Amino acid sequence: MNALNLLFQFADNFAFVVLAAVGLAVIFGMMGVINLGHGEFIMIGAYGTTLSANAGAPLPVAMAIGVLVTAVMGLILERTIIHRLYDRLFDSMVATWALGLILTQGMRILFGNSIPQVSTPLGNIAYGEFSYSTYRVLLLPVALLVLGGLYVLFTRTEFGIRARATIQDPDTARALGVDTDRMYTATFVIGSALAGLTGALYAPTLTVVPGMGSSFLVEAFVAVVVGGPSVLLGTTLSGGLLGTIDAVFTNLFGTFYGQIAMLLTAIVVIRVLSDGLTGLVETVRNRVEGE
Amino acid sequence: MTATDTDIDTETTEVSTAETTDASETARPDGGTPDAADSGTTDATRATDTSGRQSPAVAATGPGTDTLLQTDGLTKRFGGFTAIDDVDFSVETGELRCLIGPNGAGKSTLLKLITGRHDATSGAIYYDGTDITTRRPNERVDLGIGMKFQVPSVFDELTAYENMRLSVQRTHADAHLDEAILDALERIDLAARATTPAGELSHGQQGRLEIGMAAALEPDLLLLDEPVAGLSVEERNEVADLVTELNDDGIAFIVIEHDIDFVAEIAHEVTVLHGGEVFREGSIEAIRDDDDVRRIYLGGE
Amino acid sequence: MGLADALDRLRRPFEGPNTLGNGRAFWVGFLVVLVGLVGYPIGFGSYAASSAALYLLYAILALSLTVIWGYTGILSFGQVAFFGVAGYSFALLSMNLESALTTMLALPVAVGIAALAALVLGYFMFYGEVRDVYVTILTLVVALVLNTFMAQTAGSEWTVGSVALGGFNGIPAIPSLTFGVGETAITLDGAAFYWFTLAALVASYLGLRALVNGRFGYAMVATREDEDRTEMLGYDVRRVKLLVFVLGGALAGLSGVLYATWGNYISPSVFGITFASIPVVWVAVGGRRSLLGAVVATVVIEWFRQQLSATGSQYALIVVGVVLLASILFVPEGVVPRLDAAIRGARDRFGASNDAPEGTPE
Repeated sequence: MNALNLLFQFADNFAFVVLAAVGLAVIFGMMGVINLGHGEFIMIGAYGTTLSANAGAPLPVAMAIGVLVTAVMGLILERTIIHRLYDRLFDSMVATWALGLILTQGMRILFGNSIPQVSTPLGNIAYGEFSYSTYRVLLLPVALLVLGGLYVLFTRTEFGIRARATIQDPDTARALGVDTDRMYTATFVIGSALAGLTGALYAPTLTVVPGMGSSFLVEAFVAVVVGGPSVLLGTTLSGGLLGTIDAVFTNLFGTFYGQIAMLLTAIVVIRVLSDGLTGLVETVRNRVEGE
Repeated sequence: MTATDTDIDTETTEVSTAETTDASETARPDGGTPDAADSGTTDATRATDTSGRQSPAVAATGPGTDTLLQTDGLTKRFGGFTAIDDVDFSVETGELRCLIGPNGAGKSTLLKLITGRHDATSGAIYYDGTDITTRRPNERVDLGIGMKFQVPSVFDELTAYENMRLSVQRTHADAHLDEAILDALERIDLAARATTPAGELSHGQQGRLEIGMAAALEPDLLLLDEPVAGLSVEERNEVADLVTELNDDGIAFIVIEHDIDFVAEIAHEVTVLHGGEVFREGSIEAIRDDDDVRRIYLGGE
Repeated sequence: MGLADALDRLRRPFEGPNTLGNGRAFWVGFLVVLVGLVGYPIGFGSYAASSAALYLLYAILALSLTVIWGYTGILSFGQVAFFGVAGYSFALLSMNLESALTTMLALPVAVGIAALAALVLGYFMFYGEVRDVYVTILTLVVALVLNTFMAQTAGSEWTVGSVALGGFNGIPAIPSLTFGVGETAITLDGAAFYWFTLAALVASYLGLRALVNGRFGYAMVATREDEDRTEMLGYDVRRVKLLVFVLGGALAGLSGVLYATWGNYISPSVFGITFASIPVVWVAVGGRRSLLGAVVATVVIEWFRQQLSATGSQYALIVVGVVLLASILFVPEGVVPRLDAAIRGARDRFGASNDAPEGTPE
């Protein structure tokens, strides 16, 4: 192993953690709801992409279809089921879990245990004895772009201001004329679309099967736990931290130890910081301002 | 408990020793005997404090003296906002102290610091000779500090009986539990509503239940945050009687209240908080006639 | 009258507002069902009993979640982690010690290991003041990571003593529970295993009934309702949650050991995402605040799943998902408490009740 290899590994992991977590983090951070069907939302995005590509659509179009399908599914599920459960935290988790179960098995019944896969585009970058998929390298700028886009959306647009008002104080927001129900719906759809995007982006690099969602879950959940409730800050910081840890441990001991190390990081982080890295940043900020 | 200073006021010491023994003999529902462990740390804390930086507050509170609770330079900041600013405040054993002040004066924050709901930014809190500044809320309850919140805070889905049981089972053995629960409900005139879910009780009944539950823990100090806000005259009088009765039994009180007539009815001493600082302290008559106090109330902030 | 009084005194510790089914009528029914269950192997034979034993041992897993989630308000998606840890521990212990020692000794040790795992994880979560959502996620992640871990132990370097972990394929030929050594050893299989499991389930059920209606049970319920308020009554809610979590880990572990000896086999799929979800289904559908509901729902749902998969249907999991979703949306308190309320409502209407009124103190 050398430094450049480690760097590529880090970039790959950072992109994976951020993309795996971002849809979950938006819904959790904005609404306090944990979508336990998150992995299956990603799976739907991947299926939408792969099936469209198999039907002849060019890959970018197929990906757009994958995102769209997931977003529409999110919209329907929010309007019919999720919105009844906003004040019942555990029930919303169990219900999204049930949805995940139905989606996985439903896809298995509809399309069987496997479908023809899309191959990874754009070839490889070779460097000395190492070779990297160009496509996967490009996922890092895409992940950063997604984070940047969310930053703009939530801080610079009318929608973002209304959404943040809704999170901070739904009653006041309602009194000021914000349609909070629509804000929740919109947030859930954005979170679903992001999950769909993750599925679309990884469809050409992973084996698209009904149970693929669970391969994102560990990274996504650990990132949210480590990151804490602030979506952008938390996701970025935990992407950085977990990406590093995963890269180092995977390089030293093998793939599996990366996951173990991430789990242990999560357990230690929550023992020390009950609001994750976001909480740490807040505490430091308060202390600096308090002096 | 600690054996120091016993010669100053033997009567107080006897009372507190008796209560400690009583509490430690009782089987705790969580299976432990927290008092034994607690008094160990208590001694250690006191020892380091008196031999070390010689805090005046430690010497001033505890068995054998009349000061039950003392804060020493207590400060609480939320971000850049200082809610409680260098407050030295004390309560005597068996005293009934009212805490008044305009909105935002820091009254509720002070109570939350004393119960441990908030952590102090700096300063210290001493209770009965123990530095409790970093103790957990439940440990402070074990030491004898009870609390009634501003909004009635009972377990809505549990019956009045079950609510009271949660409190009474901490001080009574199984054999006398049922009897003791009914007695405690009788005392707050709720025996007839024993099987009613607490959430279905009236606002006033919930308030009484909460005070009754706090009192059933046999505390030495009870903190009440606006106990009569939103109550009818009749309910208000019932609360006043209950507080007076408990105070006569020897429980010290800190009561936050806006209703100055209610304050006059129950209070011996009044502390006025303003802008997170102690603004005035004195008898209710003196405070009521104080032009500066009137000014901060009327002039607003 | 003397006998009835004696029986009334006997049932007192198991009764209270925290459980369904108080009063003489319930206990008579309980005894009738129990006698039926004990007689089941005699009527239907050893093979049927052996199949039914699976439902009974699963019911212990369901109880472990009920006590954690329903009574204390901590939703754990990782009960299967303790189930699996104990199952694997039992396999490794019993297969390494088989020649020298009775496998019955491996049972408490394996349960102890599961409890210890719950203690360590619980300490970090509850003393770290982790908020409820994070507990759910972390417990799930623990199960998923164990799943990944055990699945990659196929290599020969993954051998504990004389036993290979076997990776994705798991460990076969786990011995059955036996009492004694050599010629006089009694092996628990068939009907004997069924009775042993039934005894473990009944003991767990009655023990938990006594627990939740006692002092500690009230502290659990109070913790579920409002942690801050509970703390203001002097309870250490961190400790309450940790103790309950350890108890739940031990019960899940007991269930896991029974599972490993039932099929003489364990594999990483016990940590998998599908199996992790099943206890939540049992408990949510049956009634999360009802011990009885969890047991009944487990047996019914598992019997149903067995019927469906026996016919080769792929729809079993879909049906389970739909049932779960429907119960969350329409019967959030669970089916068994809803039935209980309906029965009591009907009894009140016809004025036939001569039992002690339910939910009244002592």
